[in-house]
Amino acid sequence: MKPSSQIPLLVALLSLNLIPIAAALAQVSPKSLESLVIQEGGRKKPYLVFTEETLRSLSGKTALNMDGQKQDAMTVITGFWMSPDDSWKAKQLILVSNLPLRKHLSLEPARKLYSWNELTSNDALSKEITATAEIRRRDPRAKLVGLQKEASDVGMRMGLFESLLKGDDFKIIAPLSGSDWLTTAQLDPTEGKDIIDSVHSMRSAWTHLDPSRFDEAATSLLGLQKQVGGLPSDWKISLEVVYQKAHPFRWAWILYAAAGIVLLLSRNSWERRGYQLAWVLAGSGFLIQAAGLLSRVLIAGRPPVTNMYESVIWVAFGTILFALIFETIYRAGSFLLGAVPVAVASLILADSQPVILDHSIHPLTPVLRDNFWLSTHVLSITLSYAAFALSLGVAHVALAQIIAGRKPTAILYTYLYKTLQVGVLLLTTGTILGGVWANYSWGRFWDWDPKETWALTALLGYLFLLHGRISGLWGGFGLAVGSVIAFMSVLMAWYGVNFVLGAGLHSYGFGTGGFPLVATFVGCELLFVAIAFLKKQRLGSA
Amino acid sequence: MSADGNPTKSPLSRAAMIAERQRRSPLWRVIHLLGSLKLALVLLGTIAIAIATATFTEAHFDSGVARAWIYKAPWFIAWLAVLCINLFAVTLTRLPWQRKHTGFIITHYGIILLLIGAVIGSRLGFEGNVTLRTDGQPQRKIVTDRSCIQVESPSDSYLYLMPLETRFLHTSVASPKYLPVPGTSLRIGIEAVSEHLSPQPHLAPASGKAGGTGVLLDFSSGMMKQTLHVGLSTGEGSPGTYDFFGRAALTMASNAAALPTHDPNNKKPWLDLIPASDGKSLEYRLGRGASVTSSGNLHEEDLLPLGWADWRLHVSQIAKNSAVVTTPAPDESGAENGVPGFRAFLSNPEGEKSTPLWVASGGVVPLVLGKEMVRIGYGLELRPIPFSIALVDFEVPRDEGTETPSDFQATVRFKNTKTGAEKEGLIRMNHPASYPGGLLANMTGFNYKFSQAEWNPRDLKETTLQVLYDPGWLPKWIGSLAICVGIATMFYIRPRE
Repeated sequence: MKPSSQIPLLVALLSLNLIPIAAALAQVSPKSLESLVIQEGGRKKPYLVFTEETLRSLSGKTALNMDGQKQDAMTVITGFWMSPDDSWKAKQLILVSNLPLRKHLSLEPARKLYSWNELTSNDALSKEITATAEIRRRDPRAKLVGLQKEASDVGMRMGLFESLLKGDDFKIIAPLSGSDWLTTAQLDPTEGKDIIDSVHSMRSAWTHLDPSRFDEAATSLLGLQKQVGGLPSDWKISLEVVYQKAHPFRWAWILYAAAGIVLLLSRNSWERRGYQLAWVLAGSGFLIQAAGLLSRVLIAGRPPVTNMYESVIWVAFGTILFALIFETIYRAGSFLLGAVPVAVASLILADSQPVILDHSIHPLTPVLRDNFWLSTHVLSITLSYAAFALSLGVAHVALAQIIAGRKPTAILYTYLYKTLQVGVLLLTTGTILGGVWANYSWGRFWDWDPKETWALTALLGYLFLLHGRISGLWGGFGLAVGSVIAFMSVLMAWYGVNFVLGAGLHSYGFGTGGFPLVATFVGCELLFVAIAFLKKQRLGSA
Repeated sequence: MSADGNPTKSPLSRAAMIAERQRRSPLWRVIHLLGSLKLALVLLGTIAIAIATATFTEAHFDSGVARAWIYKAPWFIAWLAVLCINLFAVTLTRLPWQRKHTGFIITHYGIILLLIGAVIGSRLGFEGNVTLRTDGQPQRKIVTDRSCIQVESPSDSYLYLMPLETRFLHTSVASPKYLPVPGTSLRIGIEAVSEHLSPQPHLAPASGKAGGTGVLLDFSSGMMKQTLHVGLSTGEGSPGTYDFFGRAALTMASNAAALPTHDPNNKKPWLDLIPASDGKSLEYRLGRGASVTSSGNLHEEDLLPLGWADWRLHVSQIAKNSAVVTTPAPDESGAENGVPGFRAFLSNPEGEKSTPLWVASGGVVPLVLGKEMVRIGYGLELRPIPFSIALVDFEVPRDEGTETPSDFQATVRFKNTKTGAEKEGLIRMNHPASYPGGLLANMTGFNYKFSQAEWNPRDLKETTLQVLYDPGWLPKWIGSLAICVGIATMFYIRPRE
């Protein structure tokens, strides 16, 4: 379309009050709303966080390509609020992530996002959703599996779409009594007149592509929200906005990766300076990650180990922490070299799999609401995972040297032994603390719950490894191979119980997905060990 | 612990001394064998593999199977005992102890102490639960997780409890499992078990007003994969109506005048039945609102599609002078509901047997053989406690703006049965209440601890509390502490040379 012919059409559309959404989205930026406080999912959060979490729930992403333009979550979700019309129903926004489900519903295998209209007209989907609703009606605690679980997830996303379109989710005003916040539609028209007017004028500015009037109305809305009160303190909201925008864990892995590369590349005369540079890079990454974790602690008011996402971040943090402590003592380089791949892989994983590893901060299930036990039991368990992850890394350094045809030094195996000791002490302490907490909270010390059992299995596995080393049944190489294999039991205790077994009392940590990824990792590790083993045999016989 | 042994001895002479004592004494040889690192490795490895396997068993079957096969299986307990022996023996092999052995000994004895605590806990303590209502009576008994058969002996009328888990009972009509009836020469034979017993109707002869025309009807739906057995009778005391999932109404009456009039505004479908005087057929009317959609006659073995989804009616029995009685029987409809139980008979030393009857969990059944009658019941063992507990208040605060519970708060009142002294307690998530409470009771575990376990979202007057009485707590606690301190000492505290 030529520019000249565009103007009359636009004017015609304006007069009909029917602006194409994409056009409006492109013109008015909802940035002035980012610190608006909204109540959702059991807590009060900045509007920016709400929009990113909501779009991630709906579409699995925090930005979408719509009508040829990349739109961020703020723009898309504000679009629902400001112009809730039927045009949304034709937009491909709702995630159908599971390939078998897409096949089952005769959807395009390659496309993951579908429109409301496409999904509501799909008979197979409505049949599945009705079936799952029936199961839930009979037994509210029923565990859905396979396609039913996936269909139910799509059903939830459709529910979210519907409530967005109805405006039910935009709860921005504290009530006079009670704890449920109100949408502007729920406000008393006379008492809430100013607020209703602000939102009305935001809507009008949005549809008439008037950015300055939108910002003005948004600022007035923020002021009115403050007048009503009931908000968290300003610094908390500002901190959460900064945290949401800063992506500290992304910066951390970039710095760790740089440290690793520097360590690998520095040779000969550059070795000392390279080591110092790597220290600075890893140290900076560590500080940034610490700041990110601290922000999360301040925002959520609890230790950052309450779901899979947080524990992955925390384990990466712990791995680098232990590596830096050991480096301070021994100045070996191999601790850092071992820790970097583990930390980088974990942080990339956490950043790139938002559907499996949920970034959002949710209120905790009642049994976990105890910061004393969370920070003793859970922190020591996850720190033991971190120590074992470090031993996995150091073992890789040793095995890689063997594969490269070099014989690792005896001191490297001593270092490996030291990392294993840290892990064993922390896992023992953490598991026992878990027993004490369970005795206190659930009324029994030990009951062979799968999470308990796998923590014990992992511990016994590592004790087996250490006792075998003491008895001289195997040497340093065996210790390295064992560190890799025993880490699989840590993976089982950490990920497998929640995501594969899906049984037991630690059900608040359960989730789905990621199995192919973990299985591939395990396969690669076993292959790596096998290659090292063959190479070692050849080196030995040579 | 002894001091550094003889500090002047070199490590070599110490090793030589240890080798020498093994050579000279068979007892030392056995101790060194039992405390060997190889045995430790075998134990660590097998226990790790066994419990890992158990978690998969649990995920594929359920926790009961994993418990019966592994965690609570005699071989596993025996293996743990061997582990204790190994742990103890290995500390003896290090005699005379030196300062460097401190961490090692604390750790290994800590594990033994922890396991001893576990044994004490499982022998002398118990776990159970109690369901309380704010409008209910104070409770003086705790429901444990142990299934028991309860036998009332005809000799002294006492109730005898014997543990019985039907799930893992291997029994058959050909080789029943026998239990003695205490104080008599009688035995109870268990010849079949079922996990899915439910009350099933059947017709029993009855005279007088109780005996009417009775029918047994089977309703089945292929879509719902369900079969429902319904018994109706015109006799007094038997059901004459049946509520079909709240979706339809079933009525049988001796004549048309006794049938209810149907409200034209109520669009619920109904089925009315009137038995014929010969007692061999039924007149039926199917309808909706005030209108009759079909009518006719039914005989035994007739099939009638009802027009309620794909539900069909099968007439399995019509009998005069009969009443409807319900007894537990295995649910053959394929639905996995009902309760566990078994089929038992009474037998005497002469080899005579009573009629076998099903005993469902929660029920009591009299077994009669000649003049002897023995009542038997089956269910979870109830344990009396020396005080009563009542629910004063139960609250479920929610996360802001949602229906998700943020806590569960039960206020309870304990009352000492002997002294009548009362004490109030608040049970919150992660904050149990205990009785008698106090530092000493809490430390030793001679204490009843009540923690929040379950709630009923549809009835907030009710809550279920987990109850723990664990006299093994102190050894467990000291053992736990010893393990952690011991490992830390072993790894990080080096004795000065």
